[in-house]
Amino acid sequence: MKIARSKFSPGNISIVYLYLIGFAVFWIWIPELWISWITHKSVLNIDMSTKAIVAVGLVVPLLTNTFDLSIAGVISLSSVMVSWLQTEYGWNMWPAMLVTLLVALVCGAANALLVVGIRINSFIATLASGAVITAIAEYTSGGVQIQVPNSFKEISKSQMFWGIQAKVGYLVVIAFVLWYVLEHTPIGRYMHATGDGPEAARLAGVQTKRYVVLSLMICSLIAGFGGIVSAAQTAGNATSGAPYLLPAFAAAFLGSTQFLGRFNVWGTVASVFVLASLVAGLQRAIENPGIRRILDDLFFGVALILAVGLSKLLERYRERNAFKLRALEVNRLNN
Amino acid sequence: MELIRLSSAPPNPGCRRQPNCFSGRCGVLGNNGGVGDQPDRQAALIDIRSLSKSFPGQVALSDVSMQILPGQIHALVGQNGSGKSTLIKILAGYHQPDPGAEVVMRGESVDIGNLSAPQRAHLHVMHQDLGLVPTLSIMENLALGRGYETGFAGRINWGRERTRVKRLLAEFEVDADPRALVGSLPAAEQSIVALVRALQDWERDDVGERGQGLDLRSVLVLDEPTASLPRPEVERLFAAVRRVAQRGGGVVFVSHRLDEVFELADYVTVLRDGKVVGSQPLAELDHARLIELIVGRAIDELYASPPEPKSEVALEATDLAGNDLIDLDLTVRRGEVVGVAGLVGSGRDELASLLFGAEPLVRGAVRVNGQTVSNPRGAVTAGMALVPADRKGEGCIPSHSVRENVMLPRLAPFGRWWLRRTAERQAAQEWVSKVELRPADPERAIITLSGGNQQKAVLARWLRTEPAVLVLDEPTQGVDVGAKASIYELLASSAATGTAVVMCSSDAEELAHVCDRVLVLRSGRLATELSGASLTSDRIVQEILS
Repeated sequence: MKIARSKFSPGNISIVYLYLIGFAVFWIWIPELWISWITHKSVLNIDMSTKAIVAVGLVVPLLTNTFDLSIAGVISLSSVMVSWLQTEYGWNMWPAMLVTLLVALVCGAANALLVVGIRINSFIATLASGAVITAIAEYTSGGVQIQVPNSFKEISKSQMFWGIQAKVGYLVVIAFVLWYVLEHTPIGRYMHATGDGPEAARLAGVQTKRYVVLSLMICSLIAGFGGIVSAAQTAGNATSGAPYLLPAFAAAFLGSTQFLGRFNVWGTVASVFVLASLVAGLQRAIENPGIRRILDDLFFGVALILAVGLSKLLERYRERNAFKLRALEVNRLNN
Repeated sequence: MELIRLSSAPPNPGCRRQPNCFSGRCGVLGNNGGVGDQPDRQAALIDIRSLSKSFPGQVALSDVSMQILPGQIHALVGQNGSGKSTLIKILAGYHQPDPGAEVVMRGESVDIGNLSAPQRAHLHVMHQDLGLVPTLSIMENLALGRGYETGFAGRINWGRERTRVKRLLAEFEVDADPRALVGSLPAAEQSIVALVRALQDWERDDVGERGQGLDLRSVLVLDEPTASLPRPEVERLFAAVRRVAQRGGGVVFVSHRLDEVFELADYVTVLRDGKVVGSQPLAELDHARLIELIVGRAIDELYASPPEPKSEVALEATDLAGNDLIDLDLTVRRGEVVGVAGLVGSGRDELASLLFGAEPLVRGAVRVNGQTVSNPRGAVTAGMALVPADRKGEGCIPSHSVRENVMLPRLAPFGRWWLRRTAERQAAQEWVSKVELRPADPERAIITLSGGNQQKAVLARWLRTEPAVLVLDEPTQGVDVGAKASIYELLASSAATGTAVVMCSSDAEELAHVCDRVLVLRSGRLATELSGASLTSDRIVQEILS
């Protein structure tokens, strides 16, 4: 019952309040542009969907207390790979996509080898492997954009309903599957345990190494899919991955302060949506092109700092309260 | 002030030889009756009257009075949550007491919540975590927060500093080079270094003749100083503590280990529910009576009686070797409770991890019901369970709820592809009441429970898997007396259903009472096996040490 009461407290769903405030502000500021389906449709289709796909993938390794900074490289490589196979070799898009996803899995496996096999700190290992993967992407693309066939563009842009594109659908499906796996299956429980108490989990019979490997593979696979979608949106490009890194981390960490108080899928999706909406609103409201250009970086950067800072403060607050809580409890029992 | 004047000019010439003697034995205080109607009050190093402390919504301490006399070793005991830690925190200056407390220190009325620096120097709290820096030398550790003696151009006078530290250490029979790194010292010597660091401030006292030894008319509070010490090292620390008391210092000794209280202290104050329920010389008490005071009810059987062992072999270890352990053979039958005793480094502290496969075996094999075990996963599937000594790091996942912690090793009953929450909640509730967890809320984060209740939850996790073999390492470490009794009961009832229990512990008394037989390890080898009439705590200690 305690949980039910705190579920909708401002602390737990601050992101929703933030959105409502932003919505009201833009309603007053730019009523014509803001109260229009076109704006919100473009937030969903363009600003949010691919970012959110990558971000929910990142939630998985973060849950097992493993960083994956190579996602930017994996996105770049798969965006180049899927276009290159189609234009250079004339492959059909389905085998091209399949091979690309396999390549992404291999990247994940390589990360796992470094992190679990050789036991390099995941932050360092994936920072380095990400650079190597980006280098491979650069070499493959020859430093130019690779145009993709129009039929391939359809997998990203074909419309579902109300002008919403297919990639929003992919996001919903991926998020739903991850949510189900992470919150409602034993695998998810073991991943949580691995992240929050690795040694305790191992001694409870959880095969912690296996779950770290699995989480890195899942993250790479989803990042690879994100790369395919991004190639279908514009073109195969070895620099397409870098802009996703910061938003993914910002959203995952901001999401971890929402709803459940730990890394979770829906909090992450909501964070991307709210941040992307606010950026979109400001971009429509502000004339100055110099400011419009920096809004994305600025917003997601500030969000990451706020999110991590907030969770640190929360942690300290909880620790301070743990002692008081215990004393209170003992007193209640004694009476 | 009164005391200081007395000490600088003692009227009794016989006492000049012992300027620090304030034990009253030499009669100095008795002869100088001019200090008031309450000679006791003046004699006390610290005298606490009507100290209360309330937190929002609860009273942690109510009307506590306590008096520490010179030369006294004053034990402070009570269950977890009795207010003991609140009292220590007030003494250490972390908490402010409620208004109305009267505290007299060395004849002066003081505000305990706001002690001045010189006053603070005479009331030193030594915490369980010693606060030493292991990578610095003894000398450097002692200089932290105190500074060095410097000479020309601010050069540290290392030579003089070393002699000073050497002399201080020698007073407590520590023969270590002051330049030795603290981390390289045995545990007891580390504790003594922490003790010396507390005492060295007393040296600077206004009457203490600097360089002439310590002025020990001060109070030292030791908070669970023996929790991480092996038994023979405890003796060394105790010798040092006794020395402080002999020279007129007052010592407050806080411990869960009642046998140590009886061994060391001469006076005891018992706290229960924030009130003092007993304050008397220990000589007037026996073990059972003290436990009764602490718990508030008589515990007829702190230790449930061991059941009869059944015949089939459940656990078989052959030629077991690890870092310390050499070639140990161990066979445990169903329903048997086997204890393992030994010092730190004897192999006792690594046996549990080796059996469970948590640490790699150098040699040997472990079989549970004939199935070979080599890693934790394999151990769990074979029907083995481990309750590790390090509860927060290895025993449980601190931020997870009691439910998640208890269910972790066996989620299968709730579905392979979808965890049914209702079924899981129901099972959690069931186990919470089975082990009498307080508070009985399975959704609480386990870290918010008291040590004893955390351990009960960890035990529930494994009892739920109905293990063939249950291995425990220091199962009652940091656990209060009440929870101890219920943990022993749970172990006994589990053994009664046929579980083979292996219990590694540094508490000889516990081993003697709970186990059917006890293996004593010495330098990695099996020294002896005790059972039946020869299984007593004295005998275990004797065998450990010989």
